[in-house]
Amino acid sequence: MVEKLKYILVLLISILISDIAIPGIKFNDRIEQYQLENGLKVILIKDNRSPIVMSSIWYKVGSSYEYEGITGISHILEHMMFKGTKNTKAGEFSKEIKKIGGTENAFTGKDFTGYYQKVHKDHIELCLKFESDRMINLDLSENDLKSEREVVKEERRLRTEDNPTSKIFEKIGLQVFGFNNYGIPIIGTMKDINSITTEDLKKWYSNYYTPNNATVIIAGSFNKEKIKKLIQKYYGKIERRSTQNFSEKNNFQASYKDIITKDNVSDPVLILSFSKESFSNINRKESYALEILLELMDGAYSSRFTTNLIDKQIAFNTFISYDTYSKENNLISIGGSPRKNISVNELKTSIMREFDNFINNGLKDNELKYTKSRLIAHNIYKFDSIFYQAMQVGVLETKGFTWQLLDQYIIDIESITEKDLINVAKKYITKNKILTSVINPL
Amino acid sequence: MIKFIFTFILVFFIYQGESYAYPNIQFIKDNPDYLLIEENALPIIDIKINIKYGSRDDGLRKGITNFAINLLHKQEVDNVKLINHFERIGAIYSSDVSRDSSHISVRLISTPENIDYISKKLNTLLKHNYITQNLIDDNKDKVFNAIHKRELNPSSIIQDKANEIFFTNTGYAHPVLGYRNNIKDLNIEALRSYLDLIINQNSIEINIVGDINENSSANLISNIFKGIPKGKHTDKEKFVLNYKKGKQLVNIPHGSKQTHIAIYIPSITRLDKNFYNILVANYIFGGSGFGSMLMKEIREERGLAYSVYSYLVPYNDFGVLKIGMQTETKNTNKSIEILKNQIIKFKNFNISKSSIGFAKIGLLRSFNLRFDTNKKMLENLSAINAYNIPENYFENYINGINSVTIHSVKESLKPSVMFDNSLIITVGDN
Repeated sequence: MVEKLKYILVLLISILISDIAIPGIKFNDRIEQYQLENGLKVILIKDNRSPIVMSSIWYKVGSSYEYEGITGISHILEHMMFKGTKNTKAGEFSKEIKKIGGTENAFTGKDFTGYYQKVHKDHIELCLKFESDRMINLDLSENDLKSEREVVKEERRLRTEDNPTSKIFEKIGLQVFGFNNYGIPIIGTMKDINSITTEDLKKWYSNYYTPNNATVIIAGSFNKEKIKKLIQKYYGKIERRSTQNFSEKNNFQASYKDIITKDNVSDPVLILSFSKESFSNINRKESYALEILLELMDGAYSSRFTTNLIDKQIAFNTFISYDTYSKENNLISIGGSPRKNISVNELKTSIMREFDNFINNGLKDNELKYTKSRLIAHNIYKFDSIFYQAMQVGVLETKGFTWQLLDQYIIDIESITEKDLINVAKKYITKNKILTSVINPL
Repeated sequence: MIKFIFTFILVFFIYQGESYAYPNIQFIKDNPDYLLIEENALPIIDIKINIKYGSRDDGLRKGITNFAINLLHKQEVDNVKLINHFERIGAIYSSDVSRDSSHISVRLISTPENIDYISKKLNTLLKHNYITQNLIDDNKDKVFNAIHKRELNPSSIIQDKANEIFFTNTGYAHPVLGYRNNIKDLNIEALRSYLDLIINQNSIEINIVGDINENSSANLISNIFKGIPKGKHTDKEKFVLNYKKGKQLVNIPHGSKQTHIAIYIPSITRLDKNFYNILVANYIFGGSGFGSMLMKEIREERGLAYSVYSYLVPYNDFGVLKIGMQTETKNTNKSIEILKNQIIKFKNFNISKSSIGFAKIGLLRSFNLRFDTNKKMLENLSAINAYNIPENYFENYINGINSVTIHSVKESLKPSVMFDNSLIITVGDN
């Protein structure tokens, strides 16, 4: 490649992986962060490995900001952002990106909505020009909404209604949280997708799409001084506006009643859900201990679930889903599908027995060392992509945490002990309320 | 010791004042089967081993290639599965089988100890001395389960059914996973002798990207091949596409909210002289997302689908142009009519000169994005190796795209895309 990062191979911190010292990589050595006068946060991540740059903008709004009646509005607005503005025609931004050989997309999550373009470094100005324009000048027309609503409905059919696992996860969220926070489906209910109006979208857009509610993240190859001037030129002139919280939280009482459904699955699917409070700096170590525990149980082929459940012919497959950096109270989901002669209840007992065994007997030889090795190595692999670098930073920043956590991660992970793991297993898995959900084959 | 025989230290492509730089492909030990892109910015190495046998080579035992490759990492050495040995040092192992070839990929942290360790484990894995009957029985259970899952998933159903009809009487017709009856009959002798056949130095290509130089790569390859037979070149059976059913429409009933639609049209291979013409034409038709003919008509104007696409799939023996989308079942007929109309427009190719120009610029300028991570470089290197086209690859690609004109596309479409011989298949509650 033309240029290589000069600073990466410097031995920043030494990590012991299987008794081998390897170089660590820190965001701190490649990030510069500042704020414009209008409140827009800017994060520049330098990576010169290729002449590519990714321009992205992250808004602090997603499905957890919504309420019943307008669920899915953040996602519909994300789709509508590809329509025209007062200065551009519908699809013009995408067309311009295509002309310069770039790629672009957008994503909506529970806590964020993001837009990005990946282009040759010579074309970064075009991205900033169009992206800043649609922060303030979006033209929301009835006609565009009419056809885009149909696209979103097709997306819901594809991702949720014809997908048994997504469908049951939607049910689980609603049963535990109701139409509050993480209970709200990102794509929205079909009813709400059908009823959201351009007026609703305008209100949502003008409230949340403001510089003081956004973070611009530029990752890749760029000239730092030039990029700062361009960001000031295009975003600096947009005025800050106050943002209010529209969400109407209700006092929802979570239910832990079993959910049993029938759907188009080959074998029964069991999902055990456990509650976990949001991530904070205070419970940081505990959250990482939980991450290691769950990795040790199901993070790899050598994990306990594979060895004791899959290889011993109790389960066909197993899974664990857990978001370490959860902004709100969330669920840890653990599950799998039993083998032919094994019942769902037997699988449930076997899964719970794995945690009990761990609490009673602790770690096996080198188990913690190998698990940490995997987590730390995988953390380094993420630096291969400017997209994932920006994603990691963007997710944390938009959730109200800080990217500095990423640099602290390896040190924190190294400090976790067997006792920490046993404590989180007791606290979050075995002593917790369990919501049991099952999808049986039709 | 000759280095960089066919490589260019940096290829600069000047296009409208912009400079583009592409990675430097090295031949390891002067061998065109072993390719390296040295990239020292991160302490990571990616290795991809191509085995020149895929499901097309299954013969009567449909699914044997996938089954055999899937056993390799599960072999137990010192009471531990081989894949666990990889995971101990944080390495990621994966394998996959496609129709023309099979692949083993490993990503690791680039310490000398790790390189030595991984090369020895890969050697043990490829020697396949630890395959047992228990391992085979358990794998059968898992493959039967995976087959059952595919039978319930509309996007798998449509692929499998379309392949069966379209590629009939060729090695491309059956699913990579195979069929239950064939899998049931596989035994340890058959699997060992099949692995003996497909794993030898002659049938393996190695691709490496990352923080490793040519000498270390050569040592790594020597270690991997220690005790692996040299093998010899064998001419494989060449398949001919027999699909000649005119315009056929097939529906598979399935209880889903959406109907999946696929259209297959016979086309060309990667090495065909018209490849670049079809690549540019398909970019305009449905290969470039927003703004393509299909996306505009189906999604942007009518909201009939979340995604609609077309892409050229160049297999070793023939190619196919695949078109696909999903829509609410009541819109199936309407969508098929629109797709048919767009295919006619594509066939006539009454496209403006500027559209061709934009497509060419878009393809050329997006080329850099195909090499912006080690992972992507490895995938491209592996394809370059499989097609045996490393010599002047970048120059040839750029020249190939640059040479495309409206006239050349029109001339190429008729002999390269058999529009009158298409298969339309739907899966849904029609």
